[in-house]
Amino acid sequence: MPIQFSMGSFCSRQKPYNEADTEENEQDAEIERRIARETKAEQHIHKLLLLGAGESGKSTIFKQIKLLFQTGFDEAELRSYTSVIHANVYQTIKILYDGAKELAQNESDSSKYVVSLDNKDLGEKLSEIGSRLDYPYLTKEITNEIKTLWNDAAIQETYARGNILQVPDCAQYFMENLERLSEADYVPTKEDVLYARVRTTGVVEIQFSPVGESRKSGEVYRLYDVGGQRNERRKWIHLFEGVTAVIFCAAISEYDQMLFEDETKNRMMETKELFDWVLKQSCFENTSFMLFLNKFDIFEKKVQKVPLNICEWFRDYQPMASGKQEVEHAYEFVKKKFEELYFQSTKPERVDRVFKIYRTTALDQKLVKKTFKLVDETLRRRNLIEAGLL
Amino acid sequence: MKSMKDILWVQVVSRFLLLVTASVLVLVFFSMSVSQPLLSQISLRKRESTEFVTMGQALGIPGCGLLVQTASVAGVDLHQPLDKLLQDKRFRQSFMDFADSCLAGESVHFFEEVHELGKIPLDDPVRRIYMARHIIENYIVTGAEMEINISHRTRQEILGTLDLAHPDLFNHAVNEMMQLMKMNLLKDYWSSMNFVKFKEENPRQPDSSEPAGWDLSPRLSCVRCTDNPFNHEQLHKCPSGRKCDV
Repeated sequence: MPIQFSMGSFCSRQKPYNEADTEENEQDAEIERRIARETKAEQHIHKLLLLGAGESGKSTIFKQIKLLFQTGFDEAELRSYTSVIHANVYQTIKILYDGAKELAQNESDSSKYVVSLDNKDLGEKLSEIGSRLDYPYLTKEITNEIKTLWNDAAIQETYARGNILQVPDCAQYFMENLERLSEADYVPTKEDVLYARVRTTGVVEIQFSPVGESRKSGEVYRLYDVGGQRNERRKWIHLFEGVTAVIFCAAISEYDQMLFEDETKNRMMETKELFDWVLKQSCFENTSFMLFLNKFDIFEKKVQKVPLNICEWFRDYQPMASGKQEVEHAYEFVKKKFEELYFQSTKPERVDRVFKIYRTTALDQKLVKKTFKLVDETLRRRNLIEAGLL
Repeated sequence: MKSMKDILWVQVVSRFLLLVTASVLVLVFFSMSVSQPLLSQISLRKRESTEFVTMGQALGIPGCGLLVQTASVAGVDLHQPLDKLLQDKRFRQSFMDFADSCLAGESVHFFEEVHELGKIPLDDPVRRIYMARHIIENYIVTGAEMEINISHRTRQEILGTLDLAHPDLFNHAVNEMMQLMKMNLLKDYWSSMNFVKFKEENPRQPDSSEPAGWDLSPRLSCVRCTDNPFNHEQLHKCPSGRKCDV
């Protein structure tokens, strides 16, 4: 009896604890379930990485995906790009004016880079604004001044030498649209946003499913965008685990340009080394590679003016014809170089991993949409093969 | 007569040599004291304490290190441009945590160290030079652990400077970082958990309202914080967000 009593009291004393225990257990179980559910969900999400050197078009692709497979940009988001676009304009005109001054000092044929006397003060003023921390809103008045300077023969000559000056690709587009950009109620268009140049730092991610409405076979992707300059690449390895596919962007138009972060290094040579490095990563042994030979629109124009063999990697290029044919010839040559590089940098037992090359212009929405459908198909097919269904 | 001439010649030569060596020594001395202050001067200071969290603390810059509770920091006008906002220690800390979680923290850390360098008086070149060298080694040199994303030109300009105590040494780099932070981080920061926390900890002053033009929409849940493992589910639903949990 005393024992029973003591036990009873023991039990009764324990009871609240027991209740708490079961509650806790339930909570634990719930947590476990959630974690399990999440891990399962995670497994269905394909991780895609956008890699490539600086200014190769990673973020433009990223913006396109946002436009294509998500709700796109609402007005607030479009508006948030106004300051970026205006900054692009101020920075462009500063780079050109400062560049003209430098060319006028150092080049042999220097006189053509001398800005006309009337525009000198304008140039100094705009250059000063361009070095400020905060840029003023682009008013009609400043726009007219920028336009005057932009149309100065020396500035145009300097722009023609843009490959040695780090002029952003969007320069021409924004200069041609200055009127519209400077309206008081200006809201950037989708195209403006795609053109806007922001040097990415750090990592940005987005989740999407390319199928859209019919969710039946929709794969879920998580796409990561990163900065491309050398200092940014140290951060990449944090993302290298469990990657389904790497979308490697190579700006094929940049064969005569130097790096933003190191003006002694040719961009194409850097891309070559970078692609080689990425291909050799042991984390990517089973990762698919989608190579986007990007900025074809600029390449097309450039290749007819600037010979491809100006770049060390393409030394052995022989121009063949002219016009469209030449463009195709040059493109095929570049493509072959990248193909060769892939097989050189991939271990023989790994060459069967998926490797596809696409000709892209990240600004072209239709083309990106088509390309992404192909990427999606390829990845789905790989899934089926891996599951033994094909 | 000939020997007299010889002596005169020797005198001229030796005086000339003396002058040259003296001027070389003077040059060496000055360039050394500008680029690397004499060790003896600094070792006295260094011996006093052993471990510091930041270079600013090591050099005894006022207001470095831990947050100091002061009344003046309470009111932050969020309408100010980013460079002004970052002058505020609490805001800077919150923004820095956010940037770190996006793997873009080096820009803010760099800003902070340059800000601390600015607090060292101009008539104390030794401490200024030590701080400048510390910043260059950590943020500017190619391959540095916290290397910042700046242009070739700006980097070369800093590395090639002859006067490390110059007050405008890092101006161009700070400008570039400010543009980078504004374009990449600021918009997402306003909708991050870090900003929510910042607002909770610093109740708004009657005169400072939130900056207009940004929304506290679904992005709020996008920021994955390392201390909250259950944020993942929310993240999956959200349209876009910055990667945080690395």
